[in-house]
Amino acid sequence: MFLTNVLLKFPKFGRTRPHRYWRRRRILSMAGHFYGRRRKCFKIAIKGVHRSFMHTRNARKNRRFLMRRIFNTRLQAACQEFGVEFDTMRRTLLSLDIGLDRKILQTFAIWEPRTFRGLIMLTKAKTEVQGLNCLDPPPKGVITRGML
Amino acid sequence: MSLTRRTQQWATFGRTWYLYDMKWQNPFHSARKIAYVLSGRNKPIFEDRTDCGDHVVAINSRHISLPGNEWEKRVYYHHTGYPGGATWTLAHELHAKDPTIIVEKAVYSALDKDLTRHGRMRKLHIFPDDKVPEKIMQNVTHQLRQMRPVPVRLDHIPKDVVDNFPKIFDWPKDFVLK
Repeated sequence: MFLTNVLLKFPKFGRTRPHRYWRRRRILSMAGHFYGRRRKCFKIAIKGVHRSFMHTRNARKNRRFLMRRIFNTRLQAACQEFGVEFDTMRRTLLSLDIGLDRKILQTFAIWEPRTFRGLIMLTKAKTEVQGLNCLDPPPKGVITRGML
Repeated sequence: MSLTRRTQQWATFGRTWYLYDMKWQNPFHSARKIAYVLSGRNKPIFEDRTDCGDHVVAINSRHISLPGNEWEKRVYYHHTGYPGGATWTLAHELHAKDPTIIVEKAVYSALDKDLTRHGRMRKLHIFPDDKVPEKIMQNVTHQLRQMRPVPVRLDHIPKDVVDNFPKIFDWPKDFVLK
């Protein structure tokens, strides 16, 4: 059966669409949270729904930047509790080949504070080896064996 | 949820009360520091729209210090909404009227401009002097460091300390100090 030929001649062959009411119902259900006629009248609601799809699409992209900004704020706060700048920590971990990104670091800061403190102590030990943080006393409990 | 986990959650989400002494402090620089604490940016659990900030009790707001000639030059604008209802009030006039309002406005404009702003302002308690109600003072556990040292005035130093201060020479009796 040459389906293309048939479909070109009879577009509705073998394909049934839902009733017009239900088609509109699908759109209007997505406009349920709009205000005024924008949620009731299909002709106006469809514009709002398309526009909300557009915003959703943009938000999918922007969410990464927003989350990154929140991670930075959280990590700065978590590092400040130990008197370390997050920028110092990030660069030190990079130099030690510790591949932990912001997301996992902030998860440590919230859910595993002792793991995070360990990373901070490592940062302090490394900065002391570099001669950057010599004024403070050396952190306790960091055994480096001169390998940093 | 076990009792340990529940206590851990209380400890995480509990509010801390900070005391901040506004004496001789720049309210606009201090506002940034206070807003930082009010919005919870000093915590690892910070999230933009979550109400996770701490309380700040700002005392001695009557004794704030404005930089330069800002007491005469800074103007606060208000409009009643009626024609001819605009008023411009100088900072020193506003401060004489209400000694807490300059700090309040400074913090209000330092906070994020979104729906969380009013909730965060509710956690700021300003007092014109160091008399704080006992109900508020009993919550305070932490203190925010002042941003600049409070200078000591010469007329507040005891006279015998001034007289006994070591000096290189004495002025002649007939010398007229300008």
